[in-house]
Amino acid sequence: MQLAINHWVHIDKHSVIKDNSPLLSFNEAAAPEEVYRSLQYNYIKFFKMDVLCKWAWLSAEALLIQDGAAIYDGLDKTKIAVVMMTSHGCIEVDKKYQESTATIASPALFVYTLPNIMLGEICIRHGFKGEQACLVNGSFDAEQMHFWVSDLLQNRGMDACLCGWVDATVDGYSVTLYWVSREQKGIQFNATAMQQINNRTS
Amino acid sequence: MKQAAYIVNTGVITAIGNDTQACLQSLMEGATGVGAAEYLKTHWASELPVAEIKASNEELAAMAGVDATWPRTALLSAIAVKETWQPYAATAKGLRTGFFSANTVGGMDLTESVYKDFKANGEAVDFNKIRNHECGAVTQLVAKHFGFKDFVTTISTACSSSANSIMMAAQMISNGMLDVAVAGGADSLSKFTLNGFNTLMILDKQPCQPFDNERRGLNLGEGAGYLLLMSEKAMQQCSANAIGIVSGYANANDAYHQTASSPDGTGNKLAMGNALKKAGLQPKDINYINLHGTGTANNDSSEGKAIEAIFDGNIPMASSTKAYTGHTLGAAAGVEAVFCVQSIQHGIVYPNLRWQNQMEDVSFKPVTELQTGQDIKHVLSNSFGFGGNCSSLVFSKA
Repeated sequence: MQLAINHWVHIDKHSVIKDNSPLLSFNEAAAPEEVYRSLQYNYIKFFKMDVLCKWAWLSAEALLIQDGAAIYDGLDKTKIAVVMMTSHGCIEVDKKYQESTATIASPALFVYTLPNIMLGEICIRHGFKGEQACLVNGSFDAEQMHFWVSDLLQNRGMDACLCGWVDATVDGYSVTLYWVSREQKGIQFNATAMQQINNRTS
Repeated sequence: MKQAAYIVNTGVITAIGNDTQACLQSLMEGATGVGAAEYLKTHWASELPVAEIKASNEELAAMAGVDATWPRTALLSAIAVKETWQPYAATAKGLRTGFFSANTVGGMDLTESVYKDFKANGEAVDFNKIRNHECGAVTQLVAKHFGFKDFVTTISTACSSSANSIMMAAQMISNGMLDVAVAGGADSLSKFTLNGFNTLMILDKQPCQPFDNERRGLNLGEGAGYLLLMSEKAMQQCSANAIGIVSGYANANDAYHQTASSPDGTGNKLAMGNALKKAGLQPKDINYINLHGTGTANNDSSEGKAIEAIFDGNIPMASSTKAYTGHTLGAAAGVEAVFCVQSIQHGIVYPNLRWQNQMEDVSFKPVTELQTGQDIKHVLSNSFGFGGNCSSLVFSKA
């Protein structure tokens, strides 16, 4: 069974690029709140998220919502999987939470002290209820991602998968998300194609 | 061919008793296990009551007949597994036997015991203390001790963990993949969980009052609870009698918040409704609901509303047993499965301890006096956890 990357989003220091076209450009690395405002999103919960969730949420929004409609409209949301990979995970909020315990430990920070919460925020926003995995790796491992996503779509009853790499600290971020399905539109789904998109610089 | 997963025995240890009989006695007498921590070394001992098993790790190890260097969770697990498995260990020889054990803290108690020293001087600690830190290591220790080899797994889905153990074991027996399964879970108290729940501001500084309008939060507890499940063929070989059937089960995700339930209990409704469907039952067939009933404002309200929606004006007897045992997290659904089976077997419904005030946003009242001589054919048991994990199990008379 052939799988295809129907759409992708890549965010680097200079732009938010979707399927080769820039959605937004900036001169120096942007803060997630700037991207949120520039793209005119309206989701109040965004502001309480940790930096990892913010980037994950933003890139998912840019990838999935097109002209007011969602690319998953018409699909069974119990068959939409999410597989994410990260290196630093939620280290920034871990540190902030640790600092907060010196006085009154913050429940608002505490609930973000797991990297897989970024999947939760995406699933709450879009209502995905399929298989999920959050992988912590030194760097983006396209081969491993290809294996997991192919298995979900070919053997585990999933129809589509949101997958990719989200890594964020106060020092910077690196984000690439892919929408993979059986629909033969876009580019062929393989490790090389994912790696090329992930490596691109604008 | 699908076959029934029969329940033939139970094993449990909690703050209200070291075995099924002792726990049942406390449940009937209304004796709580909630009080000050003595064995958990915490700053909060005098402020945050817990349902602690009043025994040291050495004493627990002696009860289980295992090594005292095991994590406390593994010791509790071994005690409850021993109770449920030992009577059939000899006759079950040759049958494909699985061990499904849930937990959420793993060997955290031992890790905590060396953490301070590790932070101060990484070289000076006994690394054997963290060897069994991981949740799966706890299951492996117990599996090896009892010789479970055919299928061994650890499930960790927060407070619904043990429900998933029982669900998975029942499915594997129903599908002929195993003949026998020991299924449930264990969790010990730890500073990690106590401080974590305290951070979330959902711990009660007094003994908890589930489903009471004035409820303030939950008390953490520790324990282990397992069911021994068998196929019909296995029961024949072991000359075992069924004391119940795992007749329905379902999982759902609330997809609302990391640690809170949606106000109308979306996931709770899905789990209960689908478990009834799986069991082929109507809401009116349920005689007793063992509530998740933690005592937090959020859970009891969501769970109550979901029950009202599913049972629509015809709500069966319902009670939470967490006022006795505390919330035993990964062990909770295993512990409460044992209580449900006892309810069916003895025709009793346990009182919801310390209930005083009717909830404003939920119309029904939990059972507050011990009910005996009841014909309990079907029991629904709820377990709702962090991460939106919602699980319901249905146990039926064999």
